[in-house]
Amino acid sequence: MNRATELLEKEKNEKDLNPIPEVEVKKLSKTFGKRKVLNKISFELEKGGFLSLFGPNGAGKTTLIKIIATLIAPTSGEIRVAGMDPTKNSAVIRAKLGLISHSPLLYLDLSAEENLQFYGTMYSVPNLNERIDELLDQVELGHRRYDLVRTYSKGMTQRLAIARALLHKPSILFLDEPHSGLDPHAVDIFESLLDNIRAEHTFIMITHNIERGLALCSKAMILYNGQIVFYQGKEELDIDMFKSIYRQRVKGDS
Amino acid sequence: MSGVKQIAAIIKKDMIAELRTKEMVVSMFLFVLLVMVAFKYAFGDSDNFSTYAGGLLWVAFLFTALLGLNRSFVHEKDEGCLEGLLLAPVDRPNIFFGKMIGNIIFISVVEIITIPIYIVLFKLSIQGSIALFAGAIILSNIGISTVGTLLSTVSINTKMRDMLLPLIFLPVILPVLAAAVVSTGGIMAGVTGEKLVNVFSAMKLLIAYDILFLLVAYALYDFVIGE
Amino acid sequence: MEKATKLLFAIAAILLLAGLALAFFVAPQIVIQKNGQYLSVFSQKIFYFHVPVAWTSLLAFIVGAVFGALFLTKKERRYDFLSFASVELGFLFGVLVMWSGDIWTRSEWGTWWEWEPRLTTYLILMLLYSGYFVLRSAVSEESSKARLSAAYSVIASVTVPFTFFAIRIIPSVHPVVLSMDGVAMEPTMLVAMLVPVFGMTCLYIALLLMRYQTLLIGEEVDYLKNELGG
Repeated sequence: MNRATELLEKEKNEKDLNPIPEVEVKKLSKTFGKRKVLNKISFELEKGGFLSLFGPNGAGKTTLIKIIATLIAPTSGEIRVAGMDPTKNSAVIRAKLGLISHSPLLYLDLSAEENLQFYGTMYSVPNLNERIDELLDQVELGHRRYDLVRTYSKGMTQRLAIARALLHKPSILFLDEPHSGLDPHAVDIFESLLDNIRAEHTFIMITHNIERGLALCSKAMILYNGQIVFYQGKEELDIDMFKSIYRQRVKGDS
Repeated sequence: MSGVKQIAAIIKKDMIAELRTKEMVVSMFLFVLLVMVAFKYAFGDSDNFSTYAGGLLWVAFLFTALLGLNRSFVHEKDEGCLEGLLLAPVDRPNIFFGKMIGNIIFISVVEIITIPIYIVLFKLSIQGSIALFAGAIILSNIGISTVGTLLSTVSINTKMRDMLLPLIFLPVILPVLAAAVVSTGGIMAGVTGEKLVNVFSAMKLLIAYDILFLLVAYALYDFVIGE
Repeated sequence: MEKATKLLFAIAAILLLAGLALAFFVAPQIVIQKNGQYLSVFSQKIFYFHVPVAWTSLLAFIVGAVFGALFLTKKERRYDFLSFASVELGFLFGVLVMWSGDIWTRSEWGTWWEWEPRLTTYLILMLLYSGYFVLRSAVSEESSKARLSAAYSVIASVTVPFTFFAIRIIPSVHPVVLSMDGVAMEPTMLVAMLVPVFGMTCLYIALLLMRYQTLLIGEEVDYLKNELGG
């Protein structure tokens, strides 16, 4: 816990250098009746940062993501995404968000191109066709663009899912257990793709994969019962402390 | 403007997928035929079906619509697409209108194919105005798709998924069933005088139902599809 | 709130007992003409029970929808409890409507069920609100349960008037008999009808408050259990 306060102090000092953090959460709570889904969560994520979010099911991870994504309104507390209030600027903020999930979020009976065209219209992407060409080249699916997603291999589907998420040039990317269901080879491909886009995006990842989660992150957080029980930056990350808290809260609970 | 484009894109996407797989329209069409054959066996001794003309038609259409409505959101939920759609800057009512218009198209296509077959099979005829007949069917389709799209969104978000839809859909749609049977049945029999007045009051009920439930769906869809 | 509940129960008891006395001892016996003979219809007395429960049932469904809409705008759990409690009571009173209607059809036509417009409307309403309870049981996450069932309570309440009119455009063999139309309501009859209407309304409010409190206590118990690490 001391570490967490230290980090908060440090964030305060850093604030002068980097005035607007990409995601800023202060004493955020979400309650339903007596139940506290989220209980006074505070953290900041700088532009280009990578937050790995651990915790057992029902800890409030999804709720936190949904609040940042403007899908749920918090009960109390403050939240700024790219300097804006999600409860007031939902459409503007959503246009800046992308999601890569363990399910591909693609229509299997449509071709790659049709999928991207559909989502592109939803996001009102300008010069959509050029953007689609560019992306399909990037994920090396140009030659399969007219094929149905149903006929794709798992790895190809994942690549297309990444293209889909990047279509509208989001600045913040959510990764929802992206490693689950991927074999080691697919994980390698996925992470090299992630590497390419790492610099210009801010990431928030929900994961159960400790090894990958800690390797990728710039900050790690464990949520338990709606509260932050561990929160440290990567440089000063105490791996033993992380593991003992993780074992106690996450493994012990499931 | 982008709203209209989004609605059109949702309809287009469903149409492309359907034209490719043909699973909805074909299974809905076969289902209607099977229901009609089942009617023949259930009421086999009767040779004159004209009294039940409207009833036979709408029981078959309602259950086949149920079949299609269930599929309509299973597609969205399967690969997590609904999540992707909700995260996009799309106004929720646009999702509703896209899915609803798609459902109207599917139901209408099935009806256009089956009505002639049904008339031939049961030796029926439309003695009243064809335009009025079509009008009554269109009004009923709007009601069925509006309430059906709204409630299938509810049911897909529950543990029971498609099992729940008939239990909540049928009692809500019963007024449409009654009005559709009275109006189309009356028009097919070519009624006049006081009975024609009854046909018109049934159609007025359909209009009121459609308008009110479109408003209800517009107001509630935000809450139904997700927080 | 507990005091208010007790007071309402007491008022309800007095009004309902008074209504019973008025119905049997004060309101005049209805006499109808049938096949040239004058018949006194004792079974008509059931209306002094039937009408108040029917009114209360509809009121409860409407109140349920109002609290449902309030929940959707405010997202406060108490509105979900109030909406749920009210729909539950509406259903309970609805069962009483069908039961008392049934006594009437039994004594009038000697059958247990007639597809008579008002009874049919209630049968459909019961089915409509059965869906509400199935829906609630099909959602495990509490806030989604509250959200979806609140939306459904609004949808169901909008359906009610349509059901009412739709039943009446279907050509029916039986005339609308469960009706006081055409019978000149004497002042004493009107009083005998209104007193139990108020009594039943008080009973409904008292039960609603009581149920609301038990739901709050249930939530508290769940909360404490979790705090203890259950």
